[in-house]
Amino acid sequence: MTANEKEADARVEQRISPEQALYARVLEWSMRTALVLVLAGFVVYMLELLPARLPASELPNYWALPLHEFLQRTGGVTGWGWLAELRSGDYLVLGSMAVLTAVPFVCLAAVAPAYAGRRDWVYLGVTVALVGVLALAASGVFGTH
Amino acid sequence: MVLLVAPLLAWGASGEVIAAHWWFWPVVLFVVCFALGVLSVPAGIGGGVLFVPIVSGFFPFHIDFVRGAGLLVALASAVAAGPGLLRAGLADLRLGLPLALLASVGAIIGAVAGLSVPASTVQIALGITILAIAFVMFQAKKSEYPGVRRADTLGEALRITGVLNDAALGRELPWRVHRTPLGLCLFFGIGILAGFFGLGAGWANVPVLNLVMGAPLKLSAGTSGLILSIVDSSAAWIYIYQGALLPLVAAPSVIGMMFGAFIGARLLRFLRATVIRRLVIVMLLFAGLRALLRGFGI
Repeated sequence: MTANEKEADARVEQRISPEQALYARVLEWSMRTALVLVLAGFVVYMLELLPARLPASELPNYWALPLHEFLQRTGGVTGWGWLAELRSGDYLVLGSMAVLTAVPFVCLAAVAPAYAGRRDWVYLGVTVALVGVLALAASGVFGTH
Repeated sequence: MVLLVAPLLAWGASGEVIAAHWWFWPVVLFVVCFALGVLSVPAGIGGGVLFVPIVSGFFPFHIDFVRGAGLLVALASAVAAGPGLLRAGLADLRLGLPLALLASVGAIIGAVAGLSVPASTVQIALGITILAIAFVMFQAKKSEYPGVRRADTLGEALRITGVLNDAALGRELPWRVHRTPLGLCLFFGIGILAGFFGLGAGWANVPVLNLVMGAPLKLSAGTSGLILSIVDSSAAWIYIYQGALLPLVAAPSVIGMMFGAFIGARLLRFLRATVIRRLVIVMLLFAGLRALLRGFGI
């Protein structure tokens, strides 16, 4: 990247709103953390560094089954039950996936106070509503299979 | 490459290979997702739209697990590109957040509905949707800079406006949007589709932002990723909560697609986008037909 291009990028970065700059910063760190966790969790699972609740070698017997049958036959965990199973290799990967899924939640929760600080009540409302929708989706209000 | 591998996979699904080597399918899944990641960048689509029909059509995994993984794949690609696009002003938070709110509500409805419907119905609906997407991609018009003269009342009240720094043109282009209420309604519908099928919805986000609401094309593509990350997150929580995320399917897919997209972005200068886009349309037609046939039990 040339000096002129760097200067142009810096000008654009100055022009974006402080909330957008904050969102980008939080997104970058949370995304990197999540992707490292997914990669690390998968390595642990594949190398069987932790025992799996359902060993990968047995999965071909079940992965073609519909969800409800899969859960019945494997005793699979639903809801937030995976939190108690993080010592198993397979649920460790699931935990890292949950961290990845939580990335937008973290970013939105971080920018909400910034909108409040600027008295931008409409966008504070939109951001809080989005945080609420994501929390509702994760809460299990919509039931299990 | 995927087209060449696909018939082999279809044959392999009924073979003894799987029982002997449990790692066979995850490894093939990683390779295919890597290839999809390479293609998705120059084709200008999220990988999710290719992932669900191809993996549900040619791999032995049940579609419930494929949709869960599809959402994670699309989410991972979108969050990885997000920081750069936001900093460069090629994605806009004020434009994206209200649309993401409606689409997220739709995605939750779609995810709950999708997990309650028989697999054959989902396959048929998926086949029809994928064929429709191929048609939309084939027909799609684009407007680099629609140049909206007057913002609508809602767009103005929300102050959805800005200046796009177009490095290619060497100009700064002011932009605003119109038809915001229609855009909100359409994004609600897009959210339902995304949650139901586990598809990233960039193929629908970009035309609505660009052609309906009048946002510049580059801004539409960038903001689409921002919206997609939030929408897919809300739907993915439903799949996680219901136990429909299988680590052995989701993890190699996410990792393969991420590495592929990384290479795809590096190859962007050398690949001909038009050729790749045509190849993707052919793949979508092929995968859509396969989903339809599976849905009808053929």
